[in-house]
Amino acid sequence: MSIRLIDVHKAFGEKQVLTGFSLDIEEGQTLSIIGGSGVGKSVALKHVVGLLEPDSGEVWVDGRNVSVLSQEELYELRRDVGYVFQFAALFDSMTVNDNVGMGLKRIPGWTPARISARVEECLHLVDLDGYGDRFPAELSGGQRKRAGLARAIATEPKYLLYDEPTTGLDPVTTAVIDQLIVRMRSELGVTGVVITHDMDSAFRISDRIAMLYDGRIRFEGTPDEVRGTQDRVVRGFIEGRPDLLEVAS
Amino acid sequence: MRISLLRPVEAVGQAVLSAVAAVGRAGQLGLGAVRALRKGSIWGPHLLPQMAKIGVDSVPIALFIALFTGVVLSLQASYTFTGAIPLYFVGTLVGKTMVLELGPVLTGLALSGRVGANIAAEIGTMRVTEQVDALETLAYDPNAYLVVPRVLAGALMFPMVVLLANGVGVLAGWATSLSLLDMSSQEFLKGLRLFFRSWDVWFSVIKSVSFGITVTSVGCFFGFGTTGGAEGVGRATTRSVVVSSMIILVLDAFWAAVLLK
Amino acid sequence: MSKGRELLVGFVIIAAVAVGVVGTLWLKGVHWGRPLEPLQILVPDVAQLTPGDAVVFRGVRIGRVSTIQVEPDGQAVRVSVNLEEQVKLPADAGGVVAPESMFGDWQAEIVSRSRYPRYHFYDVPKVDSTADVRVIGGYTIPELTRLTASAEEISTNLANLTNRLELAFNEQTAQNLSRAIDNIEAVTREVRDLVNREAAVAASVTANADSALNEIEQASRAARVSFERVQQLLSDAKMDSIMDNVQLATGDIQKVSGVLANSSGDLRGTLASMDSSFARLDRITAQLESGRGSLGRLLADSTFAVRAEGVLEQLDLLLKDLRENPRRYVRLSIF
Repeated sequence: MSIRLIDVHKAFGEKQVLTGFSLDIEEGQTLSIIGGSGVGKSVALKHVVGLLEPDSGEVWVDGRNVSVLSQEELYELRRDVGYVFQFAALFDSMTVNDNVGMGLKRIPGWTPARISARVEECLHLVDLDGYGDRFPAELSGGQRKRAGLARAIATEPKYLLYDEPTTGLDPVTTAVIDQLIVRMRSELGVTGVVITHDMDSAFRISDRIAMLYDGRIRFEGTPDEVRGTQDRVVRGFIEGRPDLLEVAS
Repeated sequence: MRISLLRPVEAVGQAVLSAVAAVGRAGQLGLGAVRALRKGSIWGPHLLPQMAKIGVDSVPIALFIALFTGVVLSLQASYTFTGAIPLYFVGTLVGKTMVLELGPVLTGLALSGRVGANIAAEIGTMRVTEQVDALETLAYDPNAYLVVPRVLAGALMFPMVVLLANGVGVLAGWATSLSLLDMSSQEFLKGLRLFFRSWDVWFSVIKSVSFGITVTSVGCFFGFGTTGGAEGVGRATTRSVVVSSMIILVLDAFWAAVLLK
Repeated sequence: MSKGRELLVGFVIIAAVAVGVVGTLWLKGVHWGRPLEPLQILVPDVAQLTPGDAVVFRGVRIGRVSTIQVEPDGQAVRVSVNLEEQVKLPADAGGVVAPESMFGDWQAEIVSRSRYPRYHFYDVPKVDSTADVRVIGGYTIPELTRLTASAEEISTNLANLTNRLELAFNEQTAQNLSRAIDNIEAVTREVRDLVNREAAVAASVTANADSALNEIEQASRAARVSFERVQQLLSDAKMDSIMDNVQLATGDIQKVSGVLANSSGDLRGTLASMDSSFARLDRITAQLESGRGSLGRLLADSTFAVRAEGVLEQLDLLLKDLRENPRRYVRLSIF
C-alpha cells in the first residue's frame, strides 16, 4: 500500500501547474518534495487527499483511485490520511483541544472521554501539554504548527502529508518538528510526504527526495543521491544558485 | 486592428461565461447543501448556535429599524391624509405597509449586511487560511458543517425576527398616532383591522423565509468562492451584501406578483 | 453553546410566534370563550363584500362575515356571518349589503324589512326556512358605477329604438313617462333635502347644488305640464298635433337633462358618475329632435319607460341611502 501519482495534469485557468507529474511513495517511507515557491508542490499534495481533482492522470492512495471515489469513500480514505497545513489552518473559533479532537469525533464509537484522552496524548507528543484550552490566536506560529500536527496525527493515520511544516520557524523549533516527523515514521510506521524548501530539513527527515520542476518531477533519489547529482537544476536549487537554474531552463 | 475590434465582443462573452459559471457553482453549492442535509450528525450541533448568532443577535437591529419605520409611517400617513381621508386610515397604512412590505424587506436588507457579510467574511477567511480544506481532510463535509446550519438557521430565524419587527413597527405606529397625531386607540385599531387579512402575516413569513435562505446562502456562496487573502475576503463580503440585497428586492417583487392577487 | 444562549433562542422563537399568532387572531377579532351565533344571508350578488367585513345591526357592529359562497344552482350567494352578540333580531329581518365608507370597505347590515319597503329582498327558498341556521333574504345596494352602466345600456337601447318601426303613441306610455318625470321631481326634492341637511359640511357645494336642484324641479314641472298636454291630446286622438306637442315635450326633457348635467357637475363626487349618463340622455334627445326617427316610435316601446323607471328607482334608492347614511358619500365631495 502506498501513494502513487501517475501522469497528473492540472491547470488553473490558463496556467498549467502540473504537466505529467508522476511519483511513487512507498509504504513506511518519508519523501520530501522540494522545489521553488509556486511551482505546484502544494497542488500536488492536495491531489493526494482529493482536495483537488486532476484534469488528467490518476492518483492512487492505499490501493484506491482517489479521483473516482464517491464522497463517502473519500471521507473514509481521509481518515487514514493526516494533512498538516502550511499555516496550520486551525479553526479559529475552537480551542486547541477541540481542534485536535475534530477528526476523532467523526469516528463512530469514540466516547468524549476517549477523545479527550487521545487529544491529551497527541498534545503531549507535540510538546503542547497544557495548551489545550487556548485558542489558536493565543499561540505562536510554531505552537500553531505543532497543534496542526497534533490534529493531523490524532486519528492515527497511515499517511501524513506535511505542507511546509518548518517554514518560518526558528532553528530550534524546526529541529523539534523534524524530530517529530522522524518519530512518526520510525515509531508509528507512518508514510510521509513532506513539502519543503528547507534543504537541511529535507536531508534530515527524508528517505527519498523528489524535486518538482516545471510541472513534473525533475529528479528523485535518496538524500545521498541528491547531494551527488550533477543535474544543474537540482544543484542550483540545493546550493541556492539561480545562475544554474537559468541555464537549465 | 482586428484584435482591438473584437475586444468588446470578447469582454461581453467573458462576462456572460463567468456569469453562467457562477450560476453553475451556485447550483453545485445548492445541490451539495441539499445532499449534506442527510448528515445531521455534522450540522446538528451547529444549528442552535447559528440560530442564536443569525436570529437572536439580529433582533436588536431589526427592532430598532422597525421602531422608527413604524413612527415614520404613522407620521407620513397622517401628513398625506390631512383633510381628505379619515385619519383612521393611518392604522390601515401602518399595518399593511409594515406587515406586507417594510417589516420583511427592511429586516432582510439590514440582515444581509449583518448576517450575510458576517457569513461571507467568516467562510472567506476559513477558505483563504485553508480551514475549509482542513475540514475536508478531517472528513467533515464543509457543506454540512458550514452551509446547512447557517441556511437552516436563516430560514428558521428570519421569519421570527420579522414577526417581532412587524409587531414592534405596528406598536410604534400606534404609539405615535396616540401621542403625536391626536388619534384615539379606537380609531387606530379600526383602521388597522379594516383591511387586515391573516394571509398578510403568512405573506410576511413566506417572504422572510425566502430572504433568510437568500442572505445566508449568498453569504456562503461568496465565502466559498473567496480567493486572494484579506483583500479577497473584503471583496467577497461586499459582493455578498450587494448581491443578496438585489435578490431580496427581486424576490420581493416576485412574491408580490405571485402571492398577492 | 451556553444554557443562556439556548434559552435566548427559545425565548425569541416563542415571542415571535406569539406576536404572529396572537396578533393575527386579535386583529381578526376572534372572540374567545363566547359562543358565536351563526346566521346566513341570501343575496343575488355581494358586490365588494368579503369575509371579515362587519355585520351591523342598528348601527352597532355585532359580528363578521365568515364565508361567502355562490349557491350550487347559481341563483344567489350565501353569506354566512357569525354574530358575537346575543341580539334578538326582528322577525322580518333582512340583510342589506352596502358600502361602509367610500373606500372600498363593505358591510352587511341587518334591518327590519318594513323599514325599507322599496328594497327587493331576496326570497328565501322553503328549504332554508327549516334549516338549523336562520337564513334571511338580503338586498345589495347598487353602486354608482352600476347605475352608470345601466343608464348607458338604456341610452343604447333608446338609440336603437329611434331607428325602429314607427308605432302609435299610446296612453300607457305617456303615463309611464309622466310617472318617470314624477320620479325625477321626487328625487330632486330628496337631493335638495339632503343637501340642505349637509349644508354645514359643505356650504359652497350646497349653494350651487341647491340652485341647480331648484332648476331641475322647475324644469321637470314644466315637463310634466307638457306631458299633461300630450295626454290631453291623446284622448282627442289628434295625431298631427300630438307630434307637434311631442316636439315641445322633447325640448323640455332636454332642458331637464341639461340642468341635471349641470347640477351633477356641481355636486361633483356623489353625482359625478351620473353626469355622463345624463349627457348621453341629452344626446339622444337631440337625436330625437333632429328628426331621426320619431318620438312616437320610441315611446311606443314601453320597455323603455319601464327601464327608465328602473334606473330612476335605483337612483332613488341610492339617494335614500345617501340621505340616511350621508357620511358614506359626503366626504368625497370635500376632495
